[in-house]
Amino acid sequence: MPVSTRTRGWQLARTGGVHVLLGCAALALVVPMIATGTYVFTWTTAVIWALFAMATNVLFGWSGLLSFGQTAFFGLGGYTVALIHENRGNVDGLLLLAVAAVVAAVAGAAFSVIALRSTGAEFAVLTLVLAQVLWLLTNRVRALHGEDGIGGLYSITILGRELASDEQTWYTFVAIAAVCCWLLWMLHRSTLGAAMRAVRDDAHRAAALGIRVRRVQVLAFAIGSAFSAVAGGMLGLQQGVVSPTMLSLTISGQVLVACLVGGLRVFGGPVLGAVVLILAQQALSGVATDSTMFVGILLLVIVLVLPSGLTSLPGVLAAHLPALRRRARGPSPVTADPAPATAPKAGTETRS
Amino acid sequence: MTGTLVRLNGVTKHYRGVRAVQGVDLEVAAGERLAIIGPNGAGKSTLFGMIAGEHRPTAGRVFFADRDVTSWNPSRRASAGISRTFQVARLFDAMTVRQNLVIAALSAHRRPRAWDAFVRHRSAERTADALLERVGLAHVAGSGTSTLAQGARKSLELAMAIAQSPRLLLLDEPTAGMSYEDARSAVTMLNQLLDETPDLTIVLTAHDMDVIQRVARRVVLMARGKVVLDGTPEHVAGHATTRELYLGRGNHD
Repeated sequence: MPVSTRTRGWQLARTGGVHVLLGCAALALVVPMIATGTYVFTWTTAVIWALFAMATNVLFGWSGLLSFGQTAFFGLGGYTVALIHENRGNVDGLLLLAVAAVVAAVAGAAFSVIALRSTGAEFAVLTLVLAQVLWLLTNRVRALHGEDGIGGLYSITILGRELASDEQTWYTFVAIAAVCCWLLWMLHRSTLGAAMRAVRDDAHRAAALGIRVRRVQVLAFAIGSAFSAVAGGMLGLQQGVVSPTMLSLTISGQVLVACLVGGLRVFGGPVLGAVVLILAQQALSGVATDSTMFVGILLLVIVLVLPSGLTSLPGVLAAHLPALRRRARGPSPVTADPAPATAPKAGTETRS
Repeated sequence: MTGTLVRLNGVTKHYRGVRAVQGVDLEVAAGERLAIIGPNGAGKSTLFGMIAGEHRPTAGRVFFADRDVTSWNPSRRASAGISRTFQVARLFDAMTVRQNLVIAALSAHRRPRAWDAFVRHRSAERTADALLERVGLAHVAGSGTSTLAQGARKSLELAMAIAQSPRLLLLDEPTAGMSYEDARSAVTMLNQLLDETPDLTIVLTAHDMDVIQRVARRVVLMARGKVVLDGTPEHVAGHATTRELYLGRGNHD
């Protein structure tokens, strides 16, 4: 069957996600060349956000579960890391992040088992409530130091080496994020990843194929929460402090926007969205006092012009460039080939 | 003959006072090809849904392969060997034609797992490719399903149902929305596929008597939630009750 062997059908275990790791390695090397001083710090924040957005997209883009509560697990990760550090002192950073991931996975699974009894908007509201309850707790519980948060997250060692400079932190965190993204890539191409997309597109249909919809959704929630917690822990380690701000509604919204801006249906979309979001915030904060407004306008324009996100740009260009070029050349006699009216859908799932 | 595959015992379904199905007893033998017909509102779809697991009966029990599956949800029944198609084909439009088939074949064999990323599912892929050839969709294997015409969508859905390697295949209006020619070739293809899997049990709903007579060996006529006739296609088609129920209604509802 020459046709079917050439099709780009199922791509299970065909590429081992090498391009994901290579992309991260390239990023790790290029950024210190183009960014100096505090910008390396900003880029590190962007990478942490990229991981957070990827984790959120496991729910949002892959499984079709709109969760406003991913900050709950982002914050849970941060506070877990901070509390262990405060009470136990010198624990290796990787171990802290691993514990945060496990705690969040268990909490996420437990929460979703209950929350998934409702669907759609009700589910979204429940996740929102969870994030708000945890936000209140972080403000009120004395052991968590209220609004000030838990500070003193300094002299962290990772694999025995202290994160002494911004550059060291950069390389270490990109490496951690790269491993996480690779794991997510493997999940994306697994049968579980395929089942998530099937459930997202038509849960009824998926059930008729024998896919246990609820179980797939709970797993998606647990996995998304675990990686959110890793990102939250990383943010705490980078900033040296965790505070209730991590659980605020603003953050909830921003991470969803990052997914949308990058593109929900493309594997690496949220990474791009998060990087654009953080860098735009940083760049515009120097320009105006109310930079948030300009960031908002920028993101709005992106989403309006490219509804499928920034990662759909090549496809849109490929679809429209021939027509534009023809128009620029002036009215040609009898153009027989009609230009494709719409851009190809950004449903090129397995490729990033 | 290998005994009963599906048994409905006094199955009843009420929707807010509407009695869609009332105390239906029905046995389907393994390997049988049964068509359920009847005018609109006769309860065919509801009965269908109770076998597939989408509807839970208000009263009565549903048995599949000698197990009481009344409380089982659709996914559990699917894993047990019940696969189905829908009146309007339901496909995963974000996936390619081949991916649709692979996921159907995969779900038949195993639970979705994260560590499957490290394994290549050759058997599922082979099943998918073979079925693509059989239903004549190999040339569009890599395209999105949204580009397919209505008839091709139905064919793909049928292939997906067969990829699940079911024991019971439920076909809901397999030729609905097709032109006369498309419907004829779809039935020919269906019969060919069925001839290759003689053990497969079929239950279908249909309006078109031609389709029924070419596919089914037994016909059950429903009216007002009850079984009124049960027999060979010739017997049911020629019966006065059938003509009375369909008279003046045309072939479609």
